[in-house]
Amino acid sequence: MVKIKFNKGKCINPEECMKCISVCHVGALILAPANKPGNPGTPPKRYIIDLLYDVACDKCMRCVEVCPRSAIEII
Amino acid sequence: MKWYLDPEVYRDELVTEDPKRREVVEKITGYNLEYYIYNTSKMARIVSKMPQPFKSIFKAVANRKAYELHAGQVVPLEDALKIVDLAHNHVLIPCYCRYLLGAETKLTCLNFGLVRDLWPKYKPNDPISEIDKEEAKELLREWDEKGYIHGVFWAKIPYVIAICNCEKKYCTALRNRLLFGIENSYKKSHYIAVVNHELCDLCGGRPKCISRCQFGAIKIRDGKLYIDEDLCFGCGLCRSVCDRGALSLVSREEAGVNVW
Repeated sequence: MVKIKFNKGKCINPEECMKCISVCHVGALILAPANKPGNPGTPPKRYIIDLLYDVACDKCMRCVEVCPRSAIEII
Repeated sequence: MKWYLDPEVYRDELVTEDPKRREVVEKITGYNLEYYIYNTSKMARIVSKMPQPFKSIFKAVANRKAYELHAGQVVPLEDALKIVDLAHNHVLIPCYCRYLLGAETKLTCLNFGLVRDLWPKYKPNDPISEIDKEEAKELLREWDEKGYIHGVFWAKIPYVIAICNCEKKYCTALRNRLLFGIENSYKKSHYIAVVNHELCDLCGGRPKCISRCQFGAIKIRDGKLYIDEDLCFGCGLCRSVCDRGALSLVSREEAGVNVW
């Protein structure tokens, strides 16, 4: 079975990139806050990409192909 | 009468006289909104993967919390327009579900009441645009045309704070229901779609309503259009693509479909 893994070290500023999220036709990925909440109203300092809706993922691999930093791997 | 057509549920005193409700309103109008949306969805996912009996127990808790604190119900365009008339302080804010899920257009969240005053406090970089009732109605019609499902959202039931306008792909509330099984995060509307077979000609073989329906509720069975009552959310979007007026909404209760 194919598994998709996100390399957090390679994925930098995903909130500015958003390529994998946009290309995902089932919407399996979400931009997720990576640090603990700060003061009320403070936006997250850092984001990561999370395969939150893995139930919807049909393993089309478009996210793997589109990632400019090769941060998404098939394992 | 439908609960959201009661003018009582729009009164700001419901918030100013109830500290608990005020806390909920503050939480969902800017106060660490990104965390609120992501963490709620993450919890729903965790619950969906639990083994029994934990799954049933935690699902019941999640459903109760969603219902009591913050959730929505699908409304067709005509009811959304009535809500606009009943509500006050109409403001347009960016939808953070759509932001986190990568949608291109984000200004689709029509908010009411105290949101106008609370939003700038927590989200000063997201200026809200105040709009009047007619502008709000025009936007709702535009969104309906585009295929955005309308939903009335409450903050500590029954105080109405917003009409959310979104597609299935970008709505975390709908996804919490459809993918993780938390039914109360987005309730079905008071209606259900029905087809008049005398008028329906299946668009000459490729019915437009089938691709319009985001829930996959419209199918062809025995050469006839068929609406799956279990899947239909009663959003009414199918009606506007039907050239022959063969689709309409009827009361869910009268149709005897008591799945909400």
